[in-house]
Amino acid sequence: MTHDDASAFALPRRGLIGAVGAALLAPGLAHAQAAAPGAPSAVIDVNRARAAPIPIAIPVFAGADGASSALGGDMAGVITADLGNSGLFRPVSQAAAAGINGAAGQPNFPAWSAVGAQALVTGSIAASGPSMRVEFRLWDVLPGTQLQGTAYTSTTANWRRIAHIIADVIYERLLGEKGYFDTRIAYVAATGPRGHERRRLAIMDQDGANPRSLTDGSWMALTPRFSPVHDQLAFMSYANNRPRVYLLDLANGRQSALGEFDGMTFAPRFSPDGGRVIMAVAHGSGSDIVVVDLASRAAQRLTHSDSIDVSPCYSPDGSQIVFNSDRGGDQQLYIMGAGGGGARRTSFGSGHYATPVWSPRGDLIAFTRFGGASGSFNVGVMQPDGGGERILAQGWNVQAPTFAPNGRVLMFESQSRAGEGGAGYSSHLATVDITGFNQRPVRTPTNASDPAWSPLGG
Amino acid sequence: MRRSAAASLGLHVLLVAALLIGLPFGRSPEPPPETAVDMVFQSPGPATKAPAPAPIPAPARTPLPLPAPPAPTPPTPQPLEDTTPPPPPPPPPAPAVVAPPTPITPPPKPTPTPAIAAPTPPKAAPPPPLPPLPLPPPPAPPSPTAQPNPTVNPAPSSPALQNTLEKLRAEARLQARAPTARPNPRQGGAPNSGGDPLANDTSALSASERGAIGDHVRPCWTTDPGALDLDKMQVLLTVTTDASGVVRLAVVAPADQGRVAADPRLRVFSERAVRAVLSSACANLPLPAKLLGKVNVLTFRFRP
Repeated sequence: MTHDDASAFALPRRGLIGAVGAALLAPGLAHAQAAAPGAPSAVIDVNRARAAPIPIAIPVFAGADGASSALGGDMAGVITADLGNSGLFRPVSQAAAAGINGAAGQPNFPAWSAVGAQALVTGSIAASGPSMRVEFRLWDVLPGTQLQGTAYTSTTANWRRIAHIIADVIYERLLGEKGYFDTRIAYVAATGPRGHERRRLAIMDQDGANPRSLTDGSWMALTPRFSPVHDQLAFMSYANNRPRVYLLDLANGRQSALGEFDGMTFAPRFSPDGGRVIMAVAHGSGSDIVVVDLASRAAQRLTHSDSIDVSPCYSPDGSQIVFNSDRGGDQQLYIMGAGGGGARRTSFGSGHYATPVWSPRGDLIAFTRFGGASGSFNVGVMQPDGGGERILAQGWNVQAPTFAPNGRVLMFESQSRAGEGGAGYSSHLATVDITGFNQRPVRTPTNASDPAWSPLGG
Repeated sequence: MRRSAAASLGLHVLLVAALLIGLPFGRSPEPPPETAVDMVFQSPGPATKAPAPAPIPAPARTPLPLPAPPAPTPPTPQPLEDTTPPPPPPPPPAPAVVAPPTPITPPPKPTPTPAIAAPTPPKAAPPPPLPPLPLPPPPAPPSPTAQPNPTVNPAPSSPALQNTLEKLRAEARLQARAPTARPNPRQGGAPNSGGDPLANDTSALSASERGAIGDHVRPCWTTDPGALDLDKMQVLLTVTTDASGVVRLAVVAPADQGRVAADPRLRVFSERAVRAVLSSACANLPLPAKLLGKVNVLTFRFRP
């Protein structure tokens, strides 16, 4: 609600007071004071809403033949999993949906309402050789209205991606914000015994499907980061025993070192326009933050201190940079302008702060916090001014958060404590929404760490 | 002559036929606008966007042979063309639960009858010499139903310029008076209700009765706690109940329709509010007895 809205709703009370006063002084004026145009004279207030997911029914998409029907079941399953895992939808069971049939293209709304569905997704698939056409409609069950109707044509090999796109459309139409299902995760896949792992860059769909390696594991790779505009990753590699930041073109697999620096370069991140990469450069016992223009490869040093300045990340509008520094004697978060200078501390909680990442919505900064009173690792969020800090996940070692492109979900790595000889150790990925109420593991075929979320459609 | 008459007749027949065909007599109502958007999803083939996954070795105690890095394969775009028409429009939605207003048939206008001219008397022969005129009768008392019929022209016999000036002065005197016209009563409001939308049946409820209704709907009122600026949202709904107090229709109140249309987050907020009052668990409102037995229009304000 805007300020104007607030004043609009403040009018009746003021109007009433004015009317009473005017009635005492001059009865003729009372009528004119009481009638505030556009403001309700009396309303029934409903407030203190519950936080509850939207019940949604997603029956199997109809198919003209056996292949289409099988595909329809698979697609409905992916859509159901996407929406259900978000925690913002509660899919109605397929058993409850069985036997509910509409007529003449119109769903049987009373029947869907009876099984508790408030939203309904219907669809059909017509597969023809390698191509297929998918239609779906989103219905608001209680008013009985269609909210969305879209058709897609593609190859059947892309059925999974189309299902994610449909889930994104549903998410956006029912929640008013972009979805995040048609995205991928870059991460570091580790294999082998503890202490001798082989670490490769890997990539998969956001739900863990279609995992594949991007590097062969000859050299350790860390901290992959997606370009917001190109099919490209920045990451740190120990290739040739010279740790540096590299760029990897995902379309052709080409790698190239980013800039020539005397010291080690690490912790890269792209600028919001994708034209620059900001990263840390080690020097002596400390490190500075530098930005490299990708077109000219010109580098600019943004911090000049003897402290350790690392983990820089741009604000979504590109005007500010949050980073991690021990310049105050303790590892804390600082924010400075995109041109450097004027750094101010923004974290003041108990313990040390690391790996800050700015939400794409701009309203939050996620971080890793460790030490302090609890002694454990935490992943949390705070407002850019340092207020409203809250912890979303806690564990023996949870760290490295990355935001979904809509800023509603964080993915992070979670390690379990290793016993004797590394027994019981695991490192996996998990998601948690920014309210902290919906934490879920992400399945990966190997141990996984350092997740990076792609932009939508990336 | 016959040719021209025949041509004229033919043209008239064509004109009448064109009018009859062109006019929308007997046409069924237009189907609802098709909201389906036919999109062609064109992406690189699976080799580029979703390549066949090179399986990552499962966790093992001993290092497994490394999979080869993906060979750089140029994208092989597969142009796809969507030539089929978009999804057919759904049939028009079921009629609303609330019966549409019965059209009020206007009373037939009186057919104007042509004035019948009074028959003119036939001319008579020249009258004989008149006898002496009697005295005029005294003026009759004014009839109580007689209407004064003052002349519009205050100076009918004055010269033209003087006459115009008198007219202007008279109009100026009329315009100097305070206006006596009043605005028409406000129209619109909730369906079937008419009248002032701000003076619906909510004002007939006491504060405690409004509170009881709000408490009844609250269990069905849900929001998305992670929505941006949720704490600043609120929306007014115009809710129509049937005679038994069950909600049959809920729409965003006119005062909020502009804001809701401009803000997708507020739109879904209002849609959740509509679902709350329409849900079977909460649609049966605890209306006081004085409001039962008739259709009511109530204003709800939903806040987080």
